Amino acid sequence: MLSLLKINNLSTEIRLAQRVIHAVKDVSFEVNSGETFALVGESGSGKSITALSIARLLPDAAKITQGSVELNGDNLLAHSEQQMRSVRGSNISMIFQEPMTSLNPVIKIGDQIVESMLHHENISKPAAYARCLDLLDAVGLPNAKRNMKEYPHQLSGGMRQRIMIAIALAANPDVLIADEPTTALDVTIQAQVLELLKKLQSEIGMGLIFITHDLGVVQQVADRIAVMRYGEIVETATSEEFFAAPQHPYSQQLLNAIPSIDKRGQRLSIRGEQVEHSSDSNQVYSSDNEQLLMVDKLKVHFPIRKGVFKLVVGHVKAVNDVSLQLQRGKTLALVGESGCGKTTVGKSIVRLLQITQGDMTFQGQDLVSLKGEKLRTCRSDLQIVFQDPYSSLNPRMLVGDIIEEGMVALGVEQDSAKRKKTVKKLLQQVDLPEDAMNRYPHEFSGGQRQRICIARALAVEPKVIICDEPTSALDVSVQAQVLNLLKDLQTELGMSYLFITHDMSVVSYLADDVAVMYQGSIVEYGEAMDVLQHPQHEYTKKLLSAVPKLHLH
Amino acid sequence: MPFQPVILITDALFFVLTALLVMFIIFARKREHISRPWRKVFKRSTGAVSLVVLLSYYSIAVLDSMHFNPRLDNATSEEAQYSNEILSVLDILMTPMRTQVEKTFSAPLATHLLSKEMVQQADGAMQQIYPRLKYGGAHLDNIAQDKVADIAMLVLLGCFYAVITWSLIWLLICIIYSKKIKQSLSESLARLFSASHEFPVRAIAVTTGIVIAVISISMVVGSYYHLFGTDKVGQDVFYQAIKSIRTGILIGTLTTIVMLPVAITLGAMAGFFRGWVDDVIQYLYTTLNSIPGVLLIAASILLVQIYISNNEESFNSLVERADIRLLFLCLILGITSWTGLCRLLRAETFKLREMEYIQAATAFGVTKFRILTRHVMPNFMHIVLITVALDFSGLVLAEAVLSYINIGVDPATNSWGNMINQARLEMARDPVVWWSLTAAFVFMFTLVLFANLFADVVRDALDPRVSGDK
Repeated sequence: MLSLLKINNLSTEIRLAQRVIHAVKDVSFEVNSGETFALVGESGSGKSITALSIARLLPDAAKITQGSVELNGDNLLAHSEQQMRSVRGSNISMIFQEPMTSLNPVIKIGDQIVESMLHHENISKPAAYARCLDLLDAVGLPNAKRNMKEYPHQLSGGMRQRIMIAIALAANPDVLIADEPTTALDVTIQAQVLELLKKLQSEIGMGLIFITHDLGVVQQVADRIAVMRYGEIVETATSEEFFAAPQHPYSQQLLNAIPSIDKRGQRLSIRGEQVEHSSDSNQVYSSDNEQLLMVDKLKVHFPIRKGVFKLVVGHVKAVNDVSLQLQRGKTLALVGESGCGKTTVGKSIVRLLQITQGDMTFQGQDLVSLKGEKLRTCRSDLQIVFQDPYSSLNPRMLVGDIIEEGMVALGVEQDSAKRKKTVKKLLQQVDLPEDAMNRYPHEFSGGQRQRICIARALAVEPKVIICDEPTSALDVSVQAQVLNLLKDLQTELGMSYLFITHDMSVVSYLADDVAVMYQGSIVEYGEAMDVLQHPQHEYTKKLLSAVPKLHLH
Repeated sequence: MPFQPVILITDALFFVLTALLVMFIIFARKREHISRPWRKVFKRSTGAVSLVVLLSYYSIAVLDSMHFNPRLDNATSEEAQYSNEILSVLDILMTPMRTQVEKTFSAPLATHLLSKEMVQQADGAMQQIYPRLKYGGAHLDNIAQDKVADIAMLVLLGCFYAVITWSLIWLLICIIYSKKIKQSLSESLARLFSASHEFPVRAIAVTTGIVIAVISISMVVGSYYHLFGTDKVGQDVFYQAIKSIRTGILIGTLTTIVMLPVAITLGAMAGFFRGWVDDVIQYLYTTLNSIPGVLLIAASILLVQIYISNNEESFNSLVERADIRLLFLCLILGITSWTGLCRLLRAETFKLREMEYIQAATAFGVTKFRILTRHVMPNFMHIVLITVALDFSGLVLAEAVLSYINIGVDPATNSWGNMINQARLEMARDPVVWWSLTAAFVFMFTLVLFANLFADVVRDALDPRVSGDK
């Protein structure tokens, strides 16, 4: 059978002022019609550049240096730019990651879709609008007629991604390239979008190149898989073969780094490290069921002000009646989709936000009424690690100063020589070199920065760390390092975590207890195994079924 | 001692500013994240070239800010007596131009006055002629024959001095560079001037060459001729234009140090504390912004003038009086110009206070003052630097406009604005006196042009939104 799209020995370079990056090195693969081909890899592995090379949409600094891209036997790299314009859209379409920025905010949705149709096909305007309506119906928009006359900001992220798909499909392409189409979406919406793509593909019979870093998604959609690293394809296999027995060590390592319920109590595998089968039994601190932190009927409402006098006309009920208990040495996971108020809970506990109502006690001490000096002493017990490792470190301060800052502010250690010593010890603890002290944050990668954040939190010897999605901005293998570190610290120091996340696989790996949040309230709360295996509430069931599960054989 | 130093208030402030600048350079050199964008500025040839030009202006201003009273040659008294006249180092360097005062107008490089006068001849007869200048071209015997050749000779002489000075300077740089890279002199010379050098050395060398040539030619020619002619009272126009540099630079820089503390504190406070603090500061700057600036400046300059005339005894000389007025002009310009920067910084602080590292600092119980000084301020400094660079040229031009409508610096102070103001009437004369205006224009234009070019490069290098790794 003749393959639809054939890529031979493709290489792409990015030329920077000082050096040349070989973003894609000698990549070859084929995609057949009706087939889903997944390109998997971590950030910087060259998967997006490969996709852009195929559609010839590379930025100016990047150049294709060798190879060919054959679509139906036609070499796309030999085409002129004008010929390429008709190929893009009618033969090859792309969907990008960010549905918020891929649509023009000042043009109505219907017009945006029709625009590309009129450009590529000889079709009358009314006919194009009629087809547009069909397409929007096909991608599952509930009220296609109305949606056509709306502007992008009036629709949610999931709906916008559906519209992007509709635009991509408008001209019946032979090949659809989807570059991380669901990464910016919540799991339940991700599930809908994946299902939609699958359905449309079987109807139209197009080839689909699916680019992602998420192996769970890959298993759900892909027929064949290529794993990329440092610009090269290290392994190509069919989906069944790959998940049954990955051949390349890097593929194995990627699979092992994914946290899951089966790996509870084990360390996740990291590059060059053997998996140790340690169990909970050698834990130094045994949890004595001491209630460390109690949150009772927490309410956080944000006032909506209007008019000249800024009168309060209503409230956004971000958090409504949330109650939680955290025990010493345990991990409580707070799970929910974006906008459910889970971060607000975390920030309220460390008193970064003013709470509206409710009680919070830490070791029997009332947190809500604390003020001034007492609040400051209490801050050393409760610390927070944020999601984005790039914005949570001051770019103008040395790493040593950053870690030291909390100790100085809270008066943990007055002597500066001793402080320096503690900083060194902390860096060692989070597995960073000692000379990191005298460097600036921009010299570190995302995972290293997150470890600096953890070291900074540890510096004031807290009893509870609130982890606000600490790994969601990181690659799986880096995520594994951070999760291992958190686990080790819990064993060594008896740390308690309130782990805020949307990622069920992390929850199932790490959490002792789980609280599921939905629209500001907790809908289900209980032991991790109970909640994950026998969910009671409708929303929890929906959430769990939406998560792409990785079945390893 | 042959002189007695005099430090005017603006001198003191100017030196403090220079010291701060030097301290910043030393401070930044050790900190990679601060010096990196600045290196980018010097790597662009536009940046390096404009910096050389700006530095030459700046050093003239520094020389002109070192004031003193010269000692009087008074052999009879035991004690040293000092003149009341206040001179600067620049005045000494430009002595012939300062002292060679003609009777009235003369054209650039002229040997005769501009207009005819009744002169008594040797035989006693009165005659209407163009009289010879006292100084300009006075050494020539046969003017018609020798003048062009003489000027050409002087230009050549100037070029000769320039070549020697330029070569000496670059030899010195080369020797220092060869010590640094531990190579032979010829090797380091080749490396320094190779096209692939990290910094645009060739462009810098050409610019310094041009600057040195201009200075030395005008010094040599200026000692025998009036380069830009003379004004109504016979003063050398070139000398006036050079003396105006200090005024321009001072207005551009001192205003900034008046404005910066206010803009930074209020902007950061408004953005960080929000609530009523923000309201008060916002009302303050919207109110101030809605008063026409010229009105405010005119009113306060009038006040200062009245104060000076009521307290004449407290000022020793005209120079000091003019200096006070200059200082107040800087102050009032500073007061009217902080609002723009304050608004920018308030918006930036709004953004920064939501950054997670600031929330983390709050979670550590770091005091608000410390968060402001350690976390907020260093992170908006690039905006401050960009604004200062952009505002500088605007302030130099503002001085000219204000002096033109007589609410600028003291009429006795040399400034481009005053020169233009005086030239206004002279433009109507026949034959037209165009050189005052031209001289002021050329010097101001060069300064503002290079300040603008420099500001552009600084913005490109410092603004995170435009600085991609190209």
